[in-house]
Amino acid sequence: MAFTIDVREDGTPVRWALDADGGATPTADPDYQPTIYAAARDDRDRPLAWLADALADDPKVVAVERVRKHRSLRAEGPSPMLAIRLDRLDEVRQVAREIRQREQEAFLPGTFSLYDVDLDPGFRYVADRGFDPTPERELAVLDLALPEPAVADGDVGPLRIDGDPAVGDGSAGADAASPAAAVADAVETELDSRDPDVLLLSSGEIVPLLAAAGVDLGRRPGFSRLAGESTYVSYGQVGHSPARYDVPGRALIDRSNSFLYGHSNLAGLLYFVERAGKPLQELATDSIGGVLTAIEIRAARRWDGHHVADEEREDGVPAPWQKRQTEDWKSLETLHTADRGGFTFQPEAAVHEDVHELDFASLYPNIIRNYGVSPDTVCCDCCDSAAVPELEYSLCENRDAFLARVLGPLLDDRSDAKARLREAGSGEDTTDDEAVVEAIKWVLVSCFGYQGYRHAKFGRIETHEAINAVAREIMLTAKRRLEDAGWRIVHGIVDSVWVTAASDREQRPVREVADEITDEVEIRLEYEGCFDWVAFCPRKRASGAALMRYFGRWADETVDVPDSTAADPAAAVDFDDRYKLRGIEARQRSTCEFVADAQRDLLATVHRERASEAVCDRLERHLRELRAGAVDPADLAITQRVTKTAEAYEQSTRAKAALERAAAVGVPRSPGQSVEYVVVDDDCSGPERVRLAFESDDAWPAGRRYDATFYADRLVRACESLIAPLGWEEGRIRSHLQRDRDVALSAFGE
Amino acid sequence: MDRQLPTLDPGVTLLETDDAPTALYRLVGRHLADATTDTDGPAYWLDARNTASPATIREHAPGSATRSIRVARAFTGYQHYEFVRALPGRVAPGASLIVVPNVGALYAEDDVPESEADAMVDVTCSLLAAVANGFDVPVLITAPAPTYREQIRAVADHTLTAERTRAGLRVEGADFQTDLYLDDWGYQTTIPYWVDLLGEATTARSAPLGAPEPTPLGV
Repeated sequence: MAFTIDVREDGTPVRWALDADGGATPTADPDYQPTIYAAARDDRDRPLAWLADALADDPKVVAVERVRKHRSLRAEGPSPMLAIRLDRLDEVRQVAREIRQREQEAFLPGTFSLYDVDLDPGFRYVADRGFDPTPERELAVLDLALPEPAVADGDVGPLRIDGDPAVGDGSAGADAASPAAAVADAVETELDSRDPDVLLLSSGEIVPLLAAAGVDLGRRPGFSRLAGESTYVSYGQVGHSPARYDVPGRALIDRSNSFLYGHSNLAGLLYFVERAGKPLQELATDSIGGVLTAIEIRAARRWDGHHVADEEREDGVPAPWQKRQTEDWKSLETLHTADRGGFTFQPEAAVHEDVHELDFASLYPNIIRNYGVSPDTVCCDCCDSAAVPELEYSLCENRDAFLARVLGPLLDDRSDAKARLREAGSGEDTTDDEAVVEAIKWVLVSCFGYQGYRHAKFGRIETHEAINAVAREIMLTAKRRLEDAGWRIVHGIVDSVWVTAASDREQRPVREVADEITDEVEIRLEYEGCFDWVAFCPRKRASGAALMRYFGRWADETVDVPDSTAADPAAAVDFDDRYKLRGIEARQRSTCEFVADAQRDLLATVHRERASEAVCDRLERHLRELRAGAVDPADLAITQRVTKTAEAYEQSTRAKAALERAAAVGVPRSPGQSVEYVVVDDDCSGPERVRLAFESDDAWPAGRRYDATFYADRLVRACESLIAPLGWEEGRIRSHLQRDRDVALSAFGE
Repeated sequence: MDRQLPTLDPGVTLLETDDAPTALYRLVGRHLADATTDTDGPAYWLDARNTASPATIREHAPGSATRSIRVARAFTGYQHYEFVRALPGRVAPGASLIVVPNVGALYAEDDVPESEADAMVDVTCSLLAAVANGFDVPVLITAPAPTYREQIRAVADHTLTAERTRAGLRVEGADFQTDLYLDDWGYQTTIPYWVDLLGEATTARSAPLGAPEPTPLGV
């Protein structure tokens, strides 16, 4: 009914409905009045009367009405509020800021709480008007991509349409006046013939660049810039948002600015368009927390004080603007217990044989759902239970558990999609189900952490603490039951546990024990599989094993060994299916392909030989290739996310050098963005130290030479990760390598 | 009398330090150790920027004293302000201490518009002073960031400065200065310590009185 919303210059929303046979029809809605809500401290009447009076002659305000709404999920009943109806969709924040300033004329700060202020305009519009932004038919998509250096140069020449060059080498647009005009013609042709609903762009900057070349990407002329580029800090991480653009009648998805698209695809986005009731273009730019918040905002509008109703309610909870809700006062003991985090069982840094891995399925979301842990239920005033272990917080039995109602459908949809994937035949296209499974996974993964995020509109830190406490209790139950059944815990963390047969004991079947635990804790403990062996890496700068650095080889019974006429069918199993890696170099984004490949090769040697000497001999072979200059520099590119500007680095790091290089060649990077570079001379400190992956031959040292010593060092460290559990550290590897000895036969394996 | 650390008097005490983060915990520990013998009133710790680490607080305060501490953590300026607004209703009569570290820090963050932040800091300062007076309780605050520091200094009835010296923590206020240090080897004294203990020498044969250089004294 309204798959995308434009806001005209006069503030009027225009909704676009998809036509059944392609194309879309706009409808302007000049009568729409966006509304914000104001409540007064302690529900006092005088401030509300004063505010209504103060807004009476504000031309931006159309009407002020008295309404009653719940202030929060925990409110005992509805509070008096002012519904402040505005003329224009683009003046909402302005009015809110002015109320804050006016407040100071007569009252202490914080006398008013404001609601429904910072909603995205399209989301606000469809939610207020009751329109469903889910597309009723398949969307036509046009994919436009421009390499980054071309974006920086403002050159649309290399534009690609659906992956192919827009203009071939002087053929397609030969009669056009310039390369830009030829590209413009090609884009126009596609727009005319396909009338796309969605523009999938490698960068939002394509919009103004094509506009300069005379192309209107929208269904009406013109475009607008919604926001400039910015750098921000979230969860302690520096991020970067590129500028956002809008064109009439089409939804833009900027690949460089859509977490969900990057980790899923259009089907994943559309799933959440329906669940959150948020138009595609706005949803695409949301963070995972933003997606969850959108779903919560919709559900909160249906909150009746105890339950999520089927329909929106007059007295539901509007979205608080600035979160003022505080945590409860706590004793040091409670604070200490509450901050303990997830369950961990310190593993022994070594290689362990015949190890079974068991994981609780979506542990945190299932705790929220099955135990009713939610901002509205934790530490309620009405129930006298001490339901949360250790913390003894109560869990309300008279309320719905809001968060459980929000997450329940996602959990169900995900397991349905997973069931379809399991049942799908080999020839079936399962891309969309895979994308939905993946998209939901991200929201489920973050829902627990988001409860503790200080700006989460409906988050509450006690919920976060209670989920953790329940999770620890569940893990302890699992540990106890497994030990009682004759198993020894090798490692356990958060929601996973690794066990092996305890010596001198008889074991009950591990799957049977897992089923019993499932019944007891009401959350499925899934049998992941059996490892032939699994190795836990020692900590780098302390004793004991690191909790999240390990690697192991799945046993034949766990990997699907194909029916094959080959002599050794087990050898036909993919590396990724055969081995599980966590936290070591081959899994790290910043590791170059060459080192990652070499580490995987060395891992196979670890399995074959189980002897550090043989692994080192194999390492020697990779080192020789590297030192001979025989490695393709593209395989040596290191991708690194930068957290500050070049000037802000006090040490001369490689990241600083790469930033300086990027600026020098005209593709400057901002904090929060990634930079991809190859180290060519690690002894230099300036931009000569590195080359960017895309630089042409003449910018490189002769023969695209790289710094072999630097990469050799990386390679040795990757090797150390693998044989450290066998007791070999870097010094021993180096002395082994230095021995002038014949290469052991094992190095010629395969 | 404790020669290392001062007692905290009712009113707002600003602790200033650049390099001695443990000074806050030691002052609190010292005060609570004394307080438990006099009154049983609770202590309140309104936290900002994760200063209220249970382990660190316990390290510097006796176990019986830490049981009386109640902590609430603010993570945004708005939350801090709400805690301060609610403080007069929260504090129990006979409270032994109120600790408010990093008073202005959260208001100075980007998510609070400046005009709003200024107004909230004004109210916060007035309310902390009013609570100190009204309950006749020491309110110990820190304000390490430069933003709002002057405003916060202006409400302090007392100021203590703490610094790390080779000999240990040194705390100085209008009517107190550390003259006995505890370090890994035992106590160290300063000349003013002996002067205070034995009376000032009156003859030329006595030790010269200069800067209080610590002199080792094995224990």
